[in-house]
Amino acid sequence: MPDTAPAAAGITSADPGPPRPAQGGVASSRPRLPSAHVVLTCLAVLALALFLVPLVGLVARTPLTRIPELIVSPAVVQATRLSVVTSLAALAISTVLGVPLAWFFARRDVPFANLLRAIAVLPMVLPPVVGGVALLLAFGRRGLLGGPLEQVTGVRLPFTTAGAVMAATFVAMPFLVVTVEAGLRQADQRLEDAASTLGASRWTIYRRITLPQIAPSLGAGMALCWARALGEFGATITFAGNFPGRTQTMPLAVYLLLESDAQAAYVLSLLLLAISVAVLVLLRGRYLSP
Amino acid sequence: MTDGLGVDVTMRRGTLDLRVELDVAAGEIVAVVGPNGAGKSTLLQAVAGLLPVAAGRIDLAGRTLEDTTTGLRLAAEERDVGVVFQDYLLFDHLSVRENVAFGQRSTGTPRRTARAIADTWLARVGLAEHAATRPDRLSGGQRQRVALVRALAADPACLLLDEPLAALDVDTRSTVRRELRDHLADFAGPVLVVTHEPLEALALADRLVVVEDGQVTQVGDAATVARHPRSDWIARLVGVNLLTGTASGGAVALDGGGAVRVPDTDQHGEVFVAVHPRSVSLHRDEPTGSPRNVWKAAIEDVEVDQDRVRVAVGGAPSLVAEVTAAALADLDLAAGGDVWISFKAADVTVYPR
Repeated sequence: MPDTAPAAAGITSADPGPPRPAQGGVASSRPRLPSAHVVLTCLAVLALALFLVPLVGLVARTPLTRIPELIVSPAVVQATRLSVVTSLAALAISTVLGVPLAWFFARRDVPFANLLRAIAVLPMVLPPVVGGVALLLAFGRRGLLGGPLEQVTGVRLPFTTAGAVMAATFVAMPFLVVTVEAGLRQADQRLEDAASTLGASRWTIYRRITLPQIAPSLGAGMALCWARALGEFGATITFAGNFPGRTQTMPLAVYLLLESDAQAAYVLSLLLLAISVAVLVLLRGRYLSP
Repeated sequence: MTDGLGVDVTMRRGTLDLRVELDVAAGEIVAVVGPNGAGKSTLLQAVAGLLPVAAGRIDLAGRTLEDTTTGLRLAAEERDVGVVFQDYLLFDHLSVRENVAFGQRSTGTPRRTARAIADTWLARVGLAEHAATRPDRLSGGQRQRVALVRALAADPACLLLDEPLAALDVDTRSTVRRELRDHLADFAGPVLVVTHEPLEALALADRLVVVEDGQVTQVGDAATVARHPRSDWIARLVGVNLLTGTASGGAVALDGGGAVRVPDTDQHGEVFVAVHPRSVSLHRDEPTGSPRNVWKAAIEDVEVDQDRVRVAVGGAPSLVAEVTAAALADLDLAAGGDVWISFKAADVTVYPR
């Protein structure tokens, strides 16, 4: 960082010295405050440390030599398998429902659009446990819809794998919706006009013109959605409970294993970290460059 | 008018009230010309079905595309109207071949056949070797040709072109204009070209429709419009001084003050007076001899265009004279003051308003 060195020299030297051209000689007569660059850099380093130190701790304390053995232990395998199934199911549902919702917000003249959008993205800021409680009150056995649903179809959502999928979908789909909506808004609609003058139907236009245009946004939205579904904890444990093999996903297993088999918990955590890093690398164009 | 295009519409876009009626016969090329913001592109989008009209109807090849009295309005994809957009709107995620095949494939032609048709069109415009390329790799002139054959390959009943040469640089423009003219001549249906460049319109079209501020101000073939412009805008662009006044007995009293001697003694009433800048001479001293129109005026502006010089003179009326650089030197402009302008009555064209 070549440009911080002169600034640092500026505050440590007590004598004003010859006026530097950049300051024009005026600032030298005032009391010296720490340079803004130095203060901001210190705070930025502090922030980085907050992110970095826990990661270092996790990697340092995980028994790397025991990974092969722990990673095939029944508890880890069971949780991993369940997590893969539920998170992919949540991703599939989010894509099938979330893309049309994004289209609805981006392309239709919706009344109360802002209110509806706020409802759809609320799970992004809502404490997940509140989402779990809300799901329970709606789809639980004594919930608004849960009772009738079970009586009519025999389907029970709370404390089942389906419930875990629903909880993950609830918290993860908004990430896909907002990303795809932004992509749809950026897509050049005049290309769709051009396609329509060539005789293309709406479906053909969406498939051959719109979809390729929003592909990067869709990819990013799906990656974010899946990562969020994979990490889901609060809504799942509230709505679906913590039953090994049925609703005990990786994050839930980590929490539980910390009590019984801490090293297995570390390995699971490291696995989740690796997946997160992979997602970030996948999205590097979006988040790793300014 | 069985195979032609018939348009009679009114539209409202922002502050603009557009009211246009025009017919284009099959095989005819009509240019809609007018200044920017006159409503030309709006009109084109209405014909293409991309904008609804407020009132009126559009017919094409014996089929009604839109009729506000019956509420009929065909969607863009049902109209059979090919459009070449100003910035081409090529699909950069598809190959050139798939761009050109897009129309055929959209209307159910099997993929293989559609591609064969596309290749034939690409060969016709000399782009066969670029079939597998992405359009964003091509030059401006090549992109323009892809846009043209993409529209033509869909086998439209009529063709619309929105400022087809505007996105090109000056060097390629004349070449592309010539090619475009040839391809349009081969097209059997009606062709509507929208442009703000009268030169482009004169070069491409059989007939001109001048639209200004949402209204048609003149319709006619290229030669007539160039010789007898009916609006200031078109007169300025074809390079003619256009004056308005009231004629009686060989003279026209101009609306803005002053009078001009004209050759026709049988013209009466409100007329246009067109004076070509090359007919206007400038003199340092009062000219003697035959010119009937002589007066003194102040030079307001001098614009050098290669070996010709356009000199704007003020007064009533203000005119533009086009003189040679040598003649300008003789005038000794540095001396300042007024100059004498003159033109013969025989060089003035008068026609009714």
